[in-house]
Amino acid sequence: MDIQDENIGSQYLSFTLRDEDFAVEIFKVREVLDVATLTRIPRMPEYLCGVINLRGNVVPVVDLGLKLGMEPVVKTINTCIMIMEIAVEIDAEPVLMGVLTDAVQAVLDLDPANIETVPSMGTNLNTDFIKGMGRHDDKFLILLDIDKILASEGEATLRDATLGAVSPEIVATEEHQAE
Amino acid sequence: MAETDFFAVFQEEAMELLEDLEGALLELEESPGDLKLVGKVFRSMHTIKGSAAMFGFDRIADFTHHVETVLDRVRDGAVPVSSELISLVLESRDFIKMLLDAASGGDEPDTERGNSIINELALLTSGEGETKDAEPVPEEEAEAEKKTVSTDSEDTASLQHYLIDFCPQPAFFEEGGDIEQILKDIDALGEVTFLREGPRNKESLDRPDWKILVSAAGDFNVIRDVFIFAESSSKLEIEEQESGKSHQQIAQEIGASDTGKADGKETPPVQTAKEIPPTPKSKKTQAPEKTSKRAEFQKLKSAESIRVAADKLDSLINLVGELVVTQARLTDVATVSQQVEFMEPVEQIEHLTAELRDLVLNIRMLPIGTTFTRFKRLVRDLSAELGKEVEMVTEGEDTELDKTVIEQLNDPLIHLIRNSIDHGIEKPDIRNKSGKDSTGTLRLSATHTGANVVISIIDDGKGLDAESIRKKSIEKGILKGDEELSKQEIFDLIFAAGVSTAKEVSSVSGRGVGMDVVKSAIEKLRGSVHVDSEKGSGTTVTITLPLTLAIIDGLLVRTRDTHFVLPLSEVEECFELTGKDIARFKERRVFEVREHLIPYVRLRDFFAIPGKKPEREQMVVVRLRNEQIGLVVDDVIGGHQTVIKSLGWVYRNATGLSGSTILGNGEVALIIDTQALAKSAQLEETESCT
Repeated sequence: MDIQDENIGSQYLSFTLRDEDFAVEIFKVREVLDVATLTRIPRMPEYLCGVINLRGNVVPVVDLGLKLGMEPVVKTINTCIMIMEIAVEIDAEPVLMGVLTDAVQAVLDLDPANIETVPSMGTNLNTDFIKGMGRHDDKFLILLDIDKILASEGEATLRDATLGAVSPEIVATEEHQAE
Repeated sequence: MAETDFFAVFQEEAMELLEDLEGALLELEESPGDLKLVGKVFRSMHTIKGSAAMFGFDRIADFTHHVETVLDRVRDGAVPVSSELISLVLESRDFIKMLLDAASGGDEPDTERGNSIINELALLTSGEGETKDAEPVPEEEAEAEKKTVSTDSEDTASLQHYLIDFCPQPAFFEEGGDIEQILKDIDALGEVTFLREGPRNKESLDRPDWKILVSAAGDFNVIRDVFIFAESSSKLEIEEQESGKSHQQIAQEIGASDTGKADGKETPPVQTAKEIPPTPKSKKTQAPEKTSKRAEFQKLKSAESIRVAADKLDSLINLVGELVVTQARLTDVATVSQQVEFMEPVEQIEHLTAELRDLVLNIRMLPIGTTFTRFKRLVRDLSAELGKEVEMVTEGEDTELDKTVIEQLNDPLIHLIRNSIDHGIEKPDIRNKSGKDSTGTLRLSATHTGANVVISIIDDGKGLDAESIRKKSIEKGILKGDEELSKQEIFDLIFAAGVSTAKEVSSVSGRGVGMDVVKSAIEKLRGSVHVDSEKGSGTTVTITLPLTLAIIDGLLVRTRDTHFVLPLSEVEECFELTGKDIARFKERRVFEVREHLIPYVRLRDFFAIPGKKPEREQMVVVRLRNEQIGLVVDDVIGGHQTVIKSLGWVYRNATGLSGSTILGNGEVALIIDTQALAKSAQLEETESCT
């Protein structure tokens, strides 16, 4: 955990799902691929969109849009798979997982000073899966706790269930304006 | 080599020796008179002591020394082999293991325990000593006494003459054997004549055997001990000569040809052992024959096996897996290209790869016997603890299984054996009452059947009570109470979590956790477990396991654009399924094969694959435990060497699939777990009916 903590506030990879900006710590990301042939595993939840052949290894791929309880990722020329190393269980070897997203943006340097904890109210965001909010230029990025999201069963909805159905997009816009 | 490497080597070796020791001890318990086994126990202990001292593990060396002293007396016949003795030596084995673990950072063992073992051992030996000698002679003194006798006594009558025929093999020198030390030790034994000088170093290996006549007061084993470290890498024969003659007399009789002393540098005439005229009345004793046989055997063993790190093997397997995948791709490309001169080498590579694959997989195979030995100890300790008499019979110890499978089989087997002894086999008095032999039998057997290995644990205990399992299951809410269940289905319930028929919870088993764990562990190995029982006469648990976990022969099939692989070992035949056939059975999912109705599952429906089914479908008939089912697919493509890739953590709950593989074109195909698929298809149909 120490290593992770040191990495907070260093480099992040930002990406988009619809019009929302997200970021994950860069050291979690092994590589970024174009969408390859996906083999669907039948009878599994929809957000598990199949497996790919990554140089002889069979790697599962998760549709992050569906996993976060949003719209499914629609395949375009920008769609890509981020191969990540995920710690699914404590003390276990990390497993490789592909994450399907709309588009990968850039590698960003985020100063610790530019990372805010999610306010306890006002955002309607479920803080379980979020490490913080990162400020970059004029935008706010949601820093995802990708380990927790991918290790959880079922959908990892970002909306705070107790606060009614407000979509994260709207929340983020509000944040933006407040700033 | 770093110090830690030395330690690792020592530890590995010591662990192996401890296992040998345990095996030999348990065998010895069954046949206490077998001196060969006593020798084996002694030698294991001796070697552990030697190497522990060499690597500076003084505590181990010190403790082992005490045990060895006792064992030496057992070997001399001064202390009889008793079950107390064996228990104590087994306990010392455990203690040595604890010391070893402590040396590598494990928990520090209780020194008290070690001391108490030593004390009890001492008590046991001294007790025996009193009845025999009236006054126990401490070991050191006895040893000293023997030496005095052997060197000083001129009384020829008490001397034994031995003719030693010793020939070091290349391995002896390679392992750093010191022949000068052996010669020195022999010289110290008593009156010694070197009849013929053999090889002293690697360069003089072409010389004939050493021939040495020794007259000493000690018994046969004293002579043998000199060669204790040379035995495995040399040819050794010790022949007892007629007593009553003087040393010189015999020396002259045998060595008419050559009586050169060891220091005589002249090369003796080259002679083979056969040319030496046999001594007139020399009798070959039982022991020397055995020794030479053992030496031969050991020699063979060391030449035929080498030690390889397991991770090297694993990477080799992975590489071969990659090779198989690439080869499949090459075959694909070649088939498309249609170039004749290309086809031949490709086919050859295909053959070579298949051969290489089989060979490499075979390297990982280990006989299951090693695990069985461990269970002997478990059975022994457990039956003693529970006051039961259990005899364990093992069969098929040399059945080979993948190393990983054997390792992961350990815990489930322990659990099943515990269950059998705790709940299955009754106490002696109850057994007598029901007309059974007071000693229960636990049979552990392993056999090959096709691509599977079947392991059975059979006891002749009280068996399972179907009715009480049923009641318990209703109590636990697993059954509603109105189901009609066959006996088999009821027995299968004991694998459900929470069902235990044990009336009382003991330290051993009966908490209702366990059988479900056993089941999931076996299923993880792609195997299945099955219980059968007859009330009053015993229980049989059968475990069926695939031979290997890495690569299987499969049948590649396709539905729409998803490829599936069926394990070829389960496939029986293929049929075409047309609209006419379907109409004949009015859409019921059955098919007639040789006047037999076979139910089938359409993969398109089961896996919810979209699209319309083709007019002609293919049905692959697979054999499950005792029934056949058909799997209906769009197309059968053909045989496929399948390198199994796990679907991983994310898809651990996938239904009807056991893994995946990569096809020649890089696509991923899914391996079907026919057993699980049939089961869930059956379950779904039952649900949709009610």
